[in-house]
Amino acid sequence: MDINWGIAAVWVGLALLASLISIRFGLSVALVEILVGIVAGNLSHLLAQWLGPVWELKATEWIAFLASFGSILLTFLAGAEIEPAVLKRFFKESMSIGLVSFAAPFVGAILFARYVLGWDWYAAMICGIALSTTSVAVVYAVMVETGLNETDFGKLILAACFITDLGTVVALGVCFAQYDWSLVLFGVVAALALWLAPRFVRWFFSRYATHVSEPGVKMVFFVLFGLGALAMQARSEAVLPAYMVGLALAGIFAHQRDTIRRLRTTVFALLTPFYFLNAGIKVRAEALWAGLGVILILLLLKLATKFVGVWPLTRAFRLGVRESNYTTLLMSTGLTFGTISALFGLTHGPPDNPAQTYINSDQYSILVTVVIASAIVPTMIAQAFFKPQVEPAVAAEIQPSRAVPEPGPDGAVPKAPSPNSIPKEP
Amino acid sequence: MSQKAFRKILVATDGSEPAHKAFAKALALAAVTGAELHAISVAEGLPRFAGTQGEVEDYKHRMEEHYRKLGEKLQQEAVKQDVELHVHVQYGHEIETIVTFAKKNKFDLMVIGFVGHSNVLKKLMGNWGSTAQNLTRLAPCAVLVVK
Repeated sequence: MDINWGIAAVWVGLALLASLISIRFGLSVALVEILVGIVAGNLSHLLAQWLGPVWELKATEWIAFLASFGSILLTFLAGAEIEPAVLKRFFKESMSIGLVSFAAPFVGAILFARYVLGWDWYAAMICGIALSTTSVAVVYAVMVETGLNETDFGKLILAACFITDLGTVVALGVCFAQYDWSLVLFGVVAALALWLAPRFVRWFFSRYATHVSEPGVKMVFFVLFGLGALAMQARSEAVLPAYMVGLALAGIFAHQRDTIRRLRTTVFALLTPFYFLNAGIKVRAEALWAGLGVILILLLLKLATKFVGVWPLTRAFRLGVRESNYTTLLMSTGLTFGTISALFGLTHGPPDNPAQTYINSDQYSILVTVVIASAIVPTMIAQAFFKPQVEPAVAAEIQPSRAVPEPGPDGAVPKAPSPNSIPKEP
Repeated sequence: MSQKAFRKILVATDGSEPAHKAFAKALALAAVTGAELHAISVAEGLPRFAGTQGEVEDYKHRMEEHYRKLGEKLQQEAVKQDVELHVHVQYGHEIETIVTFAKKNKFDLMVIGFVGHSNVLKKLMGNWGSTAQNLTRLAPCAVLVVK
């Protein structure tokens, strides 16, 4: 494999541009990376038509690897962010709201894509999976800003979002799997790994966590890659075991915040830019124009099916009308798992026809655009019209320090006491 | 100046130079009048439409660290002036949060910087700060804008 540093420079340059834009406008870097990818991909496509194919921006083998690695770690980190105690505490509510939030758009979008849009079953399933997601990240950011993340109501919603995403990754893992011995092997090894991992990783971190070469992180990579390889062998998807391992290790990583922070820095600086740029580069502008109506309808379908499924349940759990509307809209958001599902559909195909992929470029462009719109539109509606009335979120309070005492008889001023500190994040 | 002119003073601060000028004036006023002094910072700018929870967590962590250090620095200055300073950091929209806080806690005076909370574009356009303007318009108490 030849490494072309020019190509590397272009990709990293795009990632840098996306970072600067995201900081300037206070937007998510992931979202901006996708958008920069869309613009750069289509621009390079035009240049390639005029000046030759060398101008086409494409994911090389090593870029595809980094992007794939990025998506696995994104999924792992998403799973590892859950608070097991919260999930346990709101098990009934979060499980029911989360599962319905997954199932309603999943079924609705499959049927719509198959029987109204005329997509084949594979493409319809990818459509269903991509639209079933909820963006925990979008919801979490809104919760932090409003202070709801500290309330029972907010914790319930976040737990339900995790369940919805669990439904999405399980669907992605099982809908396209090959049901033979390789799937059995994957299932058995994954079950064993998930059972043993918490105890083993806890011991491993206590023994090696402080070393600069990060053996603990490498151990997690080893488990993820090993299970990913088995999942691929079974024609399943590597993000499924990644999310499950994240969930299994969430309790341990809750006490390893520094490790998680270092891992995040590596992932966001080096890997996820390749993933999100790659997801954007594959979107074709001409497909968006041609499919504008379909994009709007699919977005409305996602919102409608989430409302049909989630809203009555939130009312059944005695949330007020305003809170129910707010919850349902937030659970209609989506970004990372939606793009992961769509990208899986574009890069994998049925075993009986290796030349074909589950979805074509036009369908991919439409789905990714709907996913991006679902990150923005429901959030804006929820924030503008249905924000629950809560006290502003307190980030910190510092109580006054004592004033400097008067000089003593010897003329010396006692040393001023140091101010009280905001309690640091545990 | 009457001792009872101001009993509770609120100063809005974001760590910028104009905001620090406002803090210095508020501190001097509190020292003279014996008023209770509170500083409020609004932590805003969490990434909108985030793709990953880690992105939000990381930004939140950095922001809280920034305001913790700022709060401690301001308190050290207050201690030197023999003034008790209460520091508050809240999430939210800056104007809405500051005005709501001022209303709820019944402040007599709000002290704000001239352009501290405004963005670069507005500064370049010679606008004296939409944040300062809006705070002046919406504040439930007297407002001192420090240049």
